[in-house]
Amino acid sequence: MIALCLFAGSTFSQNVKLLYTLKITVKDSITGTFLEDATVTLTKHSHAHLTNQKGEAIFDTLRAGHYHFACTYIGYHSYESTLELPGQQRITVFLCPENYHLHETIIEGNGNKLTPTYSVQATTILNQSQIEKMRGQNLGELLKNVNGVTTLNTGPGIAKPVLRGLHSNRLVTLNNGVRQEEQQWGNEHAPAIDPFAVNKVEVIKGAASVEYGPEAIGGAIRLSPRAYPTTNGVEGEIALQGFSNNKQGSATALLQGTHFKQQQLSWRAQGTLRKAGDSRAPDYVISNTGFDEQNGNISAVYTYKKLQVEAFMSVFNTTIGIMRAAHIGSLTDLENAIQSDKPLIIKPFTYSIGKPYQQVWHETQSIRLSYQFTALGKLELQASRQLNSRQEYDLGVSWNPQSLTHTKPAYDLTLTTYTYDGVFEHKKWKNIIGKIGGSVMHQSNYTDGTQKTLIPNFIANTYGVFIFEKWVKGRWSAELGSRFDKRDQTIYQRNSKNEIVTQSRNYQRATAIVGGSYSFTEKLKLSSTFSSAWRPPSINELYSNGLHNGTATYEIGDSNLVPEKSYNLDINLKYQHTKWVIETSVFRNSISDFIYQLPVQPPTITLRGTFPTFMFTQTDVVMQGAEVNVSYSLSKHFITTGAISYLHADDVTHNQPLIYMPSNRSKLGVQYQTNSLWKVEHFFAEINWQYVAEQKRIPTNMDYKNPPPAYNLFDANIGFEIPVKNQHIKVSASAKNMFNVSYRDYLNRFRYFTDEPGRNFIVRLTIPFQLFRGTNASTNH
Amino acid sequence: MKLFIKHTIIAFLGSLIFIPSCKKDEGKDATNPTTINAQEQITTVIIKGYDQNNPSNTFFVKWEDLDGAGGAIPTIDSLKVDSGLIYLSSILLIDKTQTPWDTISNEVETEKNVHQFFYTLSQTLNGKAKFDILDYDNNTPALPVGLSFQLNTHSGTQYSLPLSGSLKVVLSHYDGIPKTTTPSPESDVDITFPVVLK
Repeated sequence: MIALCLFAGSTFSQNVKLLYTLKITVKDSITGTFLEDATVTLTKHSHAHLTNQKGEAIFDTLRAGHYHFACTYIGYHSYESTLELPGQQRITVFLCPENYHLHETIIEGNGNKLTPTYSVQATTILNQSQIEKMRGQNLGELLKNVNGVTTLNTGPGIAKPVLRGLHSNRLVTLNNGVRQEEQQWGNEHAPAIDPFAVNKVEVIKGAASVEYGPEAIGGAIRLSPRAYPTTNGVEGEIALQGFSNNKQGSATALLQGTHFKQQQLSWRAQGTLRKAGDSRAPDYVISNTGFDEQNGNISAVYTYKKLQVEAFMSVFNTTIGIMRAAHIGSLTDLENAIQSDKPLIIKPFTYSIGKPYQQVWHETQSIRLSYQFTALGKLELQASRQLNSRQEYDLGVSWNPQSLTHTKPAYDLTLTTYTYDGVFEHKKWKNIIGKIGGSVMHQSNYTDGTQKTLIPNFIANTYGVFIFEKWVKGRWSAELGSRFDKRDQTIYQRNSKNEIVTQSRNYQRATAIVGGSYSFTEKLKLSSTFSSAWRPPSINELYSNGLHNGTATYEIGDSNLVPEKSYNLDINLKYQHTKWVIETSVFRNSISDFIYQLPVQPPTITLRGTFPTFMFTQTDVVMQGAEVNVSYSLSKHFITTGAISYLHADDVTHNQPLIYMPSNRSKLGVQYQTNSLWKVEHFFAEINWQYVAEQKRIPTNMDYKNPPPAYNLFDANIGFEIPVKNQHIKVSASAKNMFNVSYRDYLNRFRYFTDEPGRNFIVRLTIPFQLFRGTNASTNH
Repeated sequence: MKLFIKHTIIAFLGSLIFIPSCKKDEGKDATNPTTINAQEQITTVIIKGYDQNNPSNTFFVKWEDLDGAGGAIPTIDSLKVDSGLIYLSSILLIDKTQTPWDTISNEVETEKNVHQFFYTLSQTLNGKAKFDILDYDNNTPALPVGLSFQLNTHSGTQYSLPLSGSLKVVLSHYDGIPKTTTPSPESDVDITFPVVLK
């Protein structure tokens, strides 16, 4: 347990009465001794108690519900978290001495901790309860709930997160600490991550290469799994969801356990099935948009004194249909499809997935080791392997049903990635905490398939070293970090004489971050960072040369592109008062040598018509914007929330707006919540209104069709928990697009062809269970 | 007993790490790219015909792009025909990347119930020439295919020669939807020839 800075262990009591007693025990995380006179506050209820000599603070006559609590003690890092009554009546909090350890923010729960984000950079977190309200959707749709994140869709089933206008290779995704590596350059390549395995989302906005390496030009997304159980025993959960729109059913089953005292072992196994048929727009079926997904992961963490080892394995496997009417063979077909106000191929609803479709397999294995040196600090080592296999099946030639083009994928890409990371966090020295680290990534890609190669085979090696130091004193904090990365990349291709030809490229760059924060009062905090990031050109930008179905463009790469460089200034202001929480972020991200596609002459004449031709080229862009989040408690039960995101992106070289930028949007919601209503607990009901503006800032003559008009969507959610024995069965229901509005979104690549899905009713049922409880249930350390 | 369970669990979980991964990338050496498999494609479209009253008066035009989309630009002949005649004509689709050449139009003939050629003349030639399809498929009722046709350049109205324009040739396929006499949303061929009416 020493590898953890601090955590809360909770226990269960079988009291079923209206008022509860809560006992919070505070201990030193290193020595395990009780801390007397520590302050424990239940913030929302203005209760504050000092602990007795047994380290205990006792709160009587509390009603059932969620409570926010904080523990503070001079010379120790403070700890804040939430608890739930009944259920968590006895909690042990381990506070970490300031002179010993570094963290300011700690992820609660048991198990191996991912090194937290250091920077004061704008970060938005979705926690478990927020995620549970949206369970069953894909990862992109889930991330859309973060203000500043939108999605780039390819029909209804494929959604990629877009952070402040940037996506794909301009974002880094860390899944359980491992940098997710797939064919992320593709606009229609959705993240191969099981949405059910994600229990916490952190979105780091703005250039973040110092902590996250190359490609973090737009920011980083960190996904964490569920925490291991803190008490000994074996428990589990079954969750089921049904969706009306595409008749989607999904189910996930989870089993996890914690055993032993001295050599603690925790483990978790989870399996997920998701299956959906065609989505429906209000007026028609969007044919061939079903999917069939199976995911699983297993992991275990072993803790012995100062050593902790975690092993993790996951598999993601999906077959996903590509909307048939959007598969464009010729330019005439495209023009006809765009002119039609509904898709030209509409078939009755079906679960079966026809061509074209994608078949994606992603597997990850990782092992992470951390060791706490008493005098020096903490060392973390991680190694991982990922294999991404992507097959894209095309329609095949129409004149020969026996052709190989029907049985073999058009594109068959196999990407294997090995990563090795090491981070050392040094012990606090004066008022400075910090870490130093290095990483190596080895990647190889193999391309096969019946189509002319989309991207060549390649081998790439990336090396990086970084240092990050942070100074904290009183109301002030300051941070400084730097990183150097180098990527060596070689491609292997066959020429027309069938000889192997190679081409090597080397890219390297240093990045830095400088930031600080100042708390005017406890309620008002200002922080700002200036950070840089870079991104070497991606493989398709360098070498693609071919017809792109779906967009009906001929794309030509440029092997002489240079890396993109990003400089990001971020200013954040947070105000918290009894009823108000106001968060504001303004940013300016200026990117030089931004890679984009420029139409070139002449167009490409092919057997299937004359296609507009685009070449990858570079320009300088400036992306500015702001995000505002406001929440106001109207009463004990009612809360209103509002969010606005604004983005203004310009190609400053050509003095025109940047293409395919998400339009501005706002959200307004009202929530009612009560701890008990009739026979159920934790009842909530909410209604949300989203307004998405028309994107009026577009370059001229770069697109087939003008952006769609603004739209308004209304969603509603309702949920409650039914107490059964010691467990709470969770039930929730949602209505998305309640008024069945027909609309199109500018950032859906299939907006030329189809409306977005119509009304969708969702029901969710989560049943937790406990198989057996360990003998040492009170504490486990 | 407890110790036994403990060691069993540790051994089991430890062994999981070494389970070979479910998919292999073996045999996929990035340094040895796969040999280029010429995919089945149409490289060459030929339209030829002869005057039904004078078989020695013929035309032959070719649209050819041997390296497929992109790369070298296609070679496109001009279709030059005499006015006031009826040419018995046919279209040929060939894949020259195969050895021997593959005549795709024979396969279209086999799959004729789900294919149709559409011949569209530009505005300038409207009313001065027309295409009458001669072959029909096995649908009920039988629908035109367009592998063989009459190019009729006879017109009652007077106009000055030579007259130039263009001919658009589209091969539609009807995949999963019933064949009709209008073009489908999916085209296998979509090319244009310059035309001169002499």
